[in-house]
Amino acid sequence: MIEKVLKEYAQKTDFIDVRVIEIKKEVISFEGTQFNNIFSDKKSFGVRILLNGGWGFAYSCDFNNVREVFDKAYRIAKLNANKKIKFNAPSFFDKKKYPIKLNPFEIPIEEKIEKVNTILKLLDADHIKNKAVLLNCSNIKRQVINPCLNVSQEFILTSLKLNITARQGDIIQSTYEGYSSLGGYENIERINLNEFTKKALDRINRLLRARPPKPTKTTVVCNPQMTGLFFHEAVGHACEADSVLNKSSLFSKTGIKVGSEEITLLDDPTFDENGFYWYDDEGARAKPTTLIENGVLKGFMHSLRTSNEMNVSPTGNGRCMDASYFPIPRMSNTVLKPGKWSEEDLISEVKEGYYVKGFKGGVVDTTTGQFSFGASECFEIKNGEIGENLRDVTLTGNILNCLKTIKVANNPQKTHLPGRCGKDGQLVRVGDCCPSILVKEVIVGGRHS
Amino acid sequence: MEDILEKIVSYCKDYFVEASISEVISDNVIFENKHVKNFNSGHEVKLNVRITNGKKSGYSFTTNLNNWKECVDRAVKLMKISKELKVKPVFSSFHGSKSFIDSSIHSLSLDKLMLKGKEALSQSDVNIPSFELTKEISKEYFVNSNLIKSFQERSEFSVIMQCSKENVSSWDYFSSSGDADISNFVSNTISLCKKSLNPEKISTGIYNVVFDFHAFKTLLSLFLPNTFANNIINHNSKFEGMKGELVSSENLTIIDCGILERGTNNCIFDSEGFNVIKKPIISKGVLSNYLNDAYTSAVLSEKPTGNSETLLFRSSIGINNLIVRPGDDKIDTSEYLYVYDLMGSHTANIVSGDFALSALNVFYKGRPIKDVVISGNIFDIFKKIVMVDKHPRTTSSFSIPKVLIRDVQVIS
Repeated sequence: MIEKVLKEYAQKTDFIDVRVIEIKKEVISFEGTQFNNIFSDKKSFGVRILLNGGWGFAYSCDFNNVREVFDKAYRIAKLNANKKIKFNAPSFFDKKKYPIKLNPFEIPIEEKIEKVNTILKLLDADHIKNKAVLLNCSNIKRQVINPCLNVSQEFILTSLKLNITARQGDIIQSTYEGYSSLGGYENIERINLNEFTKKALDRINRLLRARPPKPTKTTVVCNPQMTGLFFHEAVGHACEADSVLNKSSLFSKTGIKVGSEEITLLDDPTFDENGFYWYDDEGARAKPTTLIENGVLKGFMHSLRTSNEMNVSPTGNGRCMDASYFPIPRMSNTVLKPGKWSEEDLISEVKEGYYVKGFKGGVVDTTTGQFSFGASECFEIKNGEIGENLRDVTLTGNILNCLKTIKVANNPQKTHLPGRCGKDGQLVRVGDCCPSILVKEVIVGGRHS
Repeated sequence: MEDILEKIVSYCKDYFVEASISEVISDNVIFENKHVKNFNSGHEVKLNVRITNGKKSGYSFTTNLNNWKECVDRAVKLMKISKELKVKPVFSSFHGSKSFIDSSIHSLSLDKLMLKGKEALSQSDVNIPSFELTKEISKEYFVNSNLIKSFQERSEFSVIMQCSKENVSSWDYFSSSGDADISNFVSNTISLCKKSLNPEKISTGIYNVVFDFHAFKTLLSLFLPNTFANNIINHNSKFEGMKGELVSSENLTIIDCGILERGTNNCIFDSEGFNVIKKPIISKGVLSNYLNDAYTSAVLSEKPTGNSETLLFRSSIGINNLIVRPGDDKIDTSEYLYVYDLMGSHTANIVSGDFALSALNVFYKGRPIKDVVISGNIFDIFKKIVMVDKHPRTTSSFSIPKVLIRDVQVIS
């Protein structure tokens, strides 16, 4: 039905496309004292029409009234139709399915509950006050259709997450461990639950003994996970072409030196990490995009709309959370090319500073370049040696000041975290593969002690 | 929709069923640099089903109402293999029906929204990367096996705006259950951006700080989860066992309620069908109430307060409409460090209360300031609230005045 109506409307519009996205989820979770077993199924379609320069977008989850939604998108596109513009769009016919060995939806739920129970037993300790474990299996079908294009992709995503809160005296700390990857239940089977749980337990025990940092501006060495967050938040968002076009990015044109020569940064949806896809949600083929090369700003990430406006080729970054959203430029996998230093080299050159591991979320103001990241763990560095453990550490600073000072190590790592990035109310899955970095001019904040 | 819910209750005779359907119809126009970028129109329907038998529950959700039987069957299947809850949950016997629709919202068509936006932006002399106007009508139907049938609907008109000029920016939003003149909102946001130009630095140190609406709302988002009963029973809260104790300055009173004038979260029942009760959370600094849903109230032997956020979890708790009670006097912001907004609340440790947040649009004795981080412990600084302004700002589901806090750690 959708394809038939699309052909009719294609006759009277300058461009039209439709996304049909279905997300099925099975979640087994435990928190505190309660198990929650949930199944969800969300399917909707979104129609986008360009007519004489005016864009109209309408969506619905009611597949009985398809024509009504097309009509609405057409009527509202007319509201702002005032000039003819040329719009280039891709043309492909393809169907892709991410390979899996074990379909997680065919694994008995009892088996998944047992997995969660095993973790819960491993966490039995008096000082652990709350445990939350979540095993999530998602089946994501994304289809985009325009008169010359019909691309379908199917992904299975499996993830296991663990949150624990512990208390010792007056000190309360919480920590998180997670694994997420495209692929079937074999991903969950591969996880060594003892090691997975032990990592979280060891960390929470260290955090309980840690002290808060003294607020200061200093040098930090970020481990690969934290580097991933740093480049995603501090640089990636400013390289999304919509923020460049609407002048809310600190970057306005390419060819400018923005950081140290050691920085070569790519967005790569073809890289097999959490942000992988073959085509974006507008049907543009996924490809790596160099954002910074040897410290010089080289490119931006585009949706079809921004690539048409800036007269460049699409980069395959037009993404949406589901069919109820207009696709916008989004990151996929953030990849920082390895440098020449070992992580030990970077640590050894710091007289006084911090080593930060893992992250607890981040945010950036792309106009001013101000950023703020939470570190899941932090250690003091004194005279090139790792020292005391610190807790509740936040890193803040300004992107442009920090980028100039960066030195890059040679230890890239995939994070395999259940990474989701939020922008304009839309969450999309993202990943990264980055080495450790040394960065100066960072404000390390926390409770003043 | 009511038909489907009735069918679900009849279909599922062997177990206790709670089911809700929510429907949202929205129209939205987005401007970029004062020109219309695009129009959006949406229609979303969701069915949530929870099946309970004794101490066991299963949950299911779909956007396809034609598949309601499949949705119920899945919830039954999940219930059967689930683990037993600690206590038997309680169920609502509250009946109610209420419309919070403002007729002026109904008449706001997309072209009227566009005209409203164009008019508001006509005088602006700064860059406006994003300006978004939205009209939304939402409806919620609830049934359960106690033969409860409840219904509520509400309207919302909202505006989100971002301004920038010479590497400074400002951001704000406005939201109300009825139509509104937005010219003041737009000129205030532009004025904030212009006032923030040419910022200077200040020294790291201890300052008395005035937190404006957004900044104090961010601080509340670190403080209030400690009053949620699911965090209490899961030992994830600093306020466990502290009901009746002084937990903040006596200048602070916080109320949760179902109805706020022009509030966008107005409701008479929560997602489990329980009546929403107006109650103080903090009363003159004293922790007065935990916010409960059906399960936490059973565990704590308290009454549900109508704060369940979803049928799909046991349990998930949230605020309905929130009021910070105004003080008697006006705060002179030009005497203090004045913070308009804070970013990065998700980087804080909600359990320990330790935080370090970047401040946006900061002024010291009237002059714009850059690169400021506010750092500390939320439980400590809430004890240092010196004054609450007499004029609250009400937008969305919050009514919050400016708040003055003494001896705040500022890093620059």
